Amino acid sequence: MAGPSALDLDSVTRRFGDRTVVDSLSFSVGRGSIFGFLGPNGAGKTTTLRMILGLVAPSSGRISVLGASDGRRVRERIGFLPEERGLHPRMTPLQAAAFLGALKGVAPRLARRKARDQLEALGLGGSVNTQIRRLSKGMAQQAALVCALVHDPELIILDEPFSGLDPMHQNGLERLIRARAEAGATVVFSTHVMAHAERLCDRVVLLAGGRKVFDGTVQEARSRAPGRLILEGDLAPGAVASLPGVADVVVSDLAGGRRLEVRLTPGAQAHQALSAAFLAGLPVRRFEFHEPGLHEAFLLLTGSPDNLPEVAGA
Amino acid sequence: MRRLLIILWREYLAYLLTPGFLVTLVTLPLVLVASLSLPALLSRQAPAPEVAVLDLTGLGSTGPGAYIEAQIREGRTRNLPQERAAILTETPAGVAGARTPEEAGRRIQDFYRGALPDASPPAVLVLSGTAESLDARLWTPRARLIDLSGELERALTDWSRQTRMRALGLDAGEIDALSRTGVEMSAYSPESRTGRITLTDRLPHLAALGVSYLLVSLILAGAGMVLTSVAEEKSSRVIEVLVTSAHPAELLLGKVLGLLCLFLTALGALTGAGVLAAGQLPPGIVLDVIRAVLSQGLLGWATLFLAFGFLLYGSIFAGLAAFCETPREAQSLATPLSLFLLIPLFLVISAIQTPESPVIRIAALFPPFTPFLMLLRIADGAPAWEVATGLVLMAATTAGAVWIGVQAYRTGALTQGSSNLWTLLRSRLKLRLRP
Repeated sequence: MAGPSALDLDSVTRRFGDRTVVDSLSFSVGRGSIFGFLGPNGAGKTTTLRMILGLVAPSSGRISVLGASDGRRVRERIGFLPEERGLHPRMTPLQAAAFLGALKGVAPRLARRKARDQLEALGLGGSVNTQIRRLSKGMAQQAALVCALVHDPELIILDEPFSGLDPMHQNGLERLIRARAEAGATVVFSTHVMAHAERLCDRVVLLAGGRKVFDGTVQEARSRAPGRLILEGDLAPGAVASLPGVADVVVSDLAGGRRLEVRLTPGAQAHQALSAAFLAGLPVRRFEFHEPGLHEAFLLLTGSPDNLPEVAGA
Repeated sequence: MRRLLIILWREYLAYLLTPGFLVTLVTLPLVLVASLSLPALLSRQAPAPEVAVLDLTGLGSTGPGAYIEAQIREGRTRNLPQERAAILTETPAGVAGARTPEEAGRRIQDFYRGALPDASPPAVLVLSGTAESLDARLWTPRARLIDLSGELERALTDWSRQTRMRALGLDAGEIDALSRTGVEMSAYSPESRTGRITLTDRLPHLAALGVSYLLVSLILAGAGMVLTSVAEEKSSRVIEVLVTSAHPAELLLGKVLGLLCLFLTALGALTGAGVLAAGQLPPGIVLDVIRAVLSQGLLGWATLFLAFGFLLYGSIFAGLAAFCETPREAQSLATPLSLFLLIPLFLVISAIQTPESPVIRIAALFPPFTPFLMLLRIADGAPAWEVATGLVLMAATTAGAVWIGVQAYRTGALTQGSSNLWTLLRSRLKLRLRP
């Protein structure tokens, strides 16, 4: 985590009537980092983002945003992109940038110039004077992002920014997020698409049912999911099952031997099992290690609470 | 304040620079003139009503039939000044032979039933009885609101009166002199410049009535525009970005005041056109009407009431619209409130006859109606305490409406899907109220 926190949540809970939507949530986001906020639908991601923005008051707990106790007090230092376009359909991107920039204290002329530069950098230079309603969803989403960033916010909050974008626009958005983080901004975004979080995030928080189920780096999250080791040779399943870190073994026959799919326990190191296999003299002809991805970790961590491993830092 | 002005300016320009507004600005004076002159123009263009007279009294050339026919020929039978005079026509063939009014009625009905659907058969006046007890029945093909019965009744009353005077031995000159006898009443008031009340003295009241109607129309239209605007921002999720960029009060007031400025622009343009017209028009009723509107601070009061009415109803409509997912949903939700605004419209009509009635005086102090009715009370010379009370109550109610509107806007802006407005509002107001 780089530098002091841009965002601190301490035991934040939000209830709507009898329903607890966010339950005792705590995490910190370091300044200048890219932070992924992951979780299935209804996990409480949007409510948490709204509490950070100061639009919804927490039922209990404490939130600190850029040093302020309420996001509304630092709204001019925050850039927010909702899940959908969030721009007046009859405005052009330049008009929208001038309007939203002015609300954040940027001179309209400067806002227009910056928006034009950024849109041209994203390949949307020909659409700067086209009404938003006439743009494709991807183009409108990028225009909305440019408008959200026109005042150079210190904290950027993006709610499902990759939703509905084609791969080309997704790449463009990823580049923009990285560029902002390199320039010193803190980026917090929610997503369902683990590939983006895997490529972009320094840290991630996983929510399920309003509760935090993981908080750490992407690598730490991956290590919560079991890796898979494929072994081929004339191997005895019982001998493989006794190797260190092996959870279970699935056997299938091959010409001249067997193929064993070995599921490791969460956190187990594949090389330890392999070393033990070679030391034991097992006739391994071929091996292959499948490292768990964030997707597997997400499914495991947000699945049934009975299957959840102990969570570091939770 | 800075953000409020930015939002106000955006809302103002968003409507001002549309072709629709410019077209409205140009056509509005034409529509106003047309609405005043069109009824008379249409009446003059309408075909003259045709009347046939069937006289069963047997009184011949001295009877009521001959008298009425002469009146119709001379063009003296018209109900309204702008209507064309009736034309005398032949009695329909199948009706002419009738001997009693009942038989005539049956034949006339058969005649009307046999007429083509798009034909305009004449009215038939059936006269029977004696000079002392005349029975007059006017048959018309359709039961319309206005017909010639009033004018024909007046003519027959004249005939009856003259016949009786002749029976008393009066000659034609005496009858004519007696028929012309009458008393002309003149109205006087210290409020009149000349003492005697003329149409010019009554014009300020008429102008206040017209401006009150205009206020109802403008406020209803403006509140509807606020409603649609907020609902569109909600459906396009713009509202989520806006509430992270400005306080809900700035958003709501900026929107309402932006539209108010738009309407004031239109009003200013109309006033300018009126001032220009006043400098060009020859003396006459149109010039007097324009002067009445421009004089006595009427426009100043109208502007004040327009502003309060806009804030009052605009805030409520904006709060309602924030709970709706689509403009259509918002419009159906606001329909009961729009119907509520018809009440002051009816009160304005009765206020023109009795502006000092207790009902009107109380209604003018009822804050939701004050913007529409107090203008009429002021034109009628309401005491200062009454005007001041109305203004204070209206200002307090408007402030309350804005506050409620802001809370509803803030809560509704972040609500998605079908929602119970009252539950959400109550939870917002009572449980999680934030400064």
